[in-house]
Amino acid sequence: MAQINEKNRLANTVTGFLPGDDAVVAFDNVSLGYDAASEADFILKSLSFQLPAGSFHFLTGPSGAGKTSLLKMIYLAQAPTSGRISLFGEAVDNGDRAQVARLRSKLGIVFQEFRLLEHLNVFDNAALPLFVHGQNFRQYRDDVTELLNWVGLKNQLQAMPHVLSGGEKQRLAIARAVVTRPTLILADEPTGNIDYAMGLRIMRLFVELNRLGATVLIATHDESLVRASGMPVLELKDGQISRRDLNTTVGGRL
Amino acid sequence: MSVVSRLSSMKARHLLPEQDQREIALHYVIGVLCVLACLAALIVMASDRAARGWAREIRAEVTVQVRPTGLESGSVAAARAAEVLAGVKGVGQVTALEPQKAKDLIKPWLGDAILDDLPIPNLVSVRLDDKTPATTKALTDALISHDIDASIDDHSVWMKDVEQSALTIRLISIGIFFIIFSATAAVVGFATRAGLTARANIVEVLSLCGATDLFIAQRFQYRFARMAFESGLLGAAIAAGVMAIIKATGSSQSFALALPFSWLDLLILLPCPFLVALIAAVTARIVTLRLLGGKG
Repeated sequence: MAQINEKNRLANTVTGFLPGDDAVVAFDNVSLGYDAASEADFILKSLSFQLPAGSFHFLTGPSGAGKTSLLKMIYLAQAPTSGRISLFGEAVDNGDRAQVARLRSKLGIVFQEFRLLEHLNVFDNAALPLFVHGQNFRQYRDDVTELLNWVGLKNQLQAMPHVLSGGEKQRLAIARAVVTRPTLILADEPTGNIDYAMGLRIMRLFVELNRLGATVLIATHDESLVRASGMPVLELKDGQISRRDLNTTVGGRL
Repeated sequence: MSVVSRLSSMKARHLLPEQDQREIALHYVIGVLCVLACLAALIVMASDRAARGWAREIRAEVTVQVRPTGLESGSVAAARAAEVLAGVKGVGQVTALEPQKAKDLIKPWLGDAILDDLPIPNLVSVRLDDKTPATTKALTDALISHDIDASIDDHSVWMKDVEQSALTIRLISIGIFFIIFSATAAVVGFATRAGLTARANIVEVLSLCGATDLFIAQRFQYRFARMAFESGLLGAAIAAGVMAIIKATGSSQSFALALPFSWLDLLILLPCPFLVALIAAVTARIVTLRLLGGKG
């Protein structure tokens, strides 16, 4: 079993990254299995990789490959079955609630299912992370208004989420994720509910935030968007991760 | 006010949605518990006052039974004893009970037939000074020094019973008061669990936005404290109304004797809403932190 583990570890160690102290995310021999009896049934097997600070990656793979599970482990909603995860150079202990809250405050997360608070209006949903971090309305109202204007929701600032279309909810979820200018942005199918033009626009926002220093990891099925971006791709398949570089210039057409 | 400044209604309380059906029921339950707790508090006050009153009355009264000696008649002996006792320091009013009055008191139980054949005791009623009451020994010494054969009943046997009964009533009322408040805490704890489960999605979003467990616990703490305060206020008002009705209508004299309410007792209701809010806040905070796995 030890030999198999070592073999898997070597196989899943993604090369080509810039290993070192500046890794925002570091996976060391991480496996994940939901009620799996043996390692062969694990959904993710002995993954070792790093995301350097300021990097931009897409995470692709077929349905059920474990993209969302991988993101969950990064945003600390799921503890690995084995292995070690480090965020911002800090070894993660999922049981340490204070550490979890502190690390999450540096993250911006876009969920596939939006997770908007239905009793708050558009403005308040977008401003939620700022409010949680103790900022007051006067401090953030201009920034939030500008951001919502940018994602095309300027006429719906006081609307409630239930009146928004899927695309509008998606844009609101993205606005909420980036409003704090997080160090690490994780997005799960962020363009899944919006048209191609809006998708490109949202991608430009991510690229812009990346240029400003944020590390970005986007899980997507949208190959056209991936190709258009020209950014490196992490591909999950059969529980293993591999890197695929596209032959485009950095930043691609975005 | 600009349009932008009206954009946000987000305050601490709004992070949790407005109350749902469960919370209306919780309002009612806490309100009822608070009414009961407030009534228990009022009963503690009234029973304490009644007990003190009874004890004061009993302590202030002494009955002396005089036995005539020699050729002296019973009424003369009683009159002489009354005169002696009136001169003792710490004695207020002294009244020798006339034989006819004693007979009148006994008549309803024994009837006329045998009353004349019965030896009627010669009694002297002594009212002691409120501030510096004379001791039983001082009264005994005074009677002995004047060669008066008498026995003094200072009602100490009754006193113990009355004090014991009053203490029991007080303890029971205090016990009920605390049991009701602990029930309030249990109800709030249960509601917090239910609220947390019902709003798991909100809690999760807040947590994923970087909110600490303490931040989330404070939302629930604020919510339940406010709800409990409102219910407590209503409960205290209803209890005050009940007391006011009892007092204003006079009720029966025996009830007023057993539970002599005072308008000042209403003051004890003032802290009740705050107390119930505090209990709710602490319970909600502890339960939330425990459920979230925090160390609180």
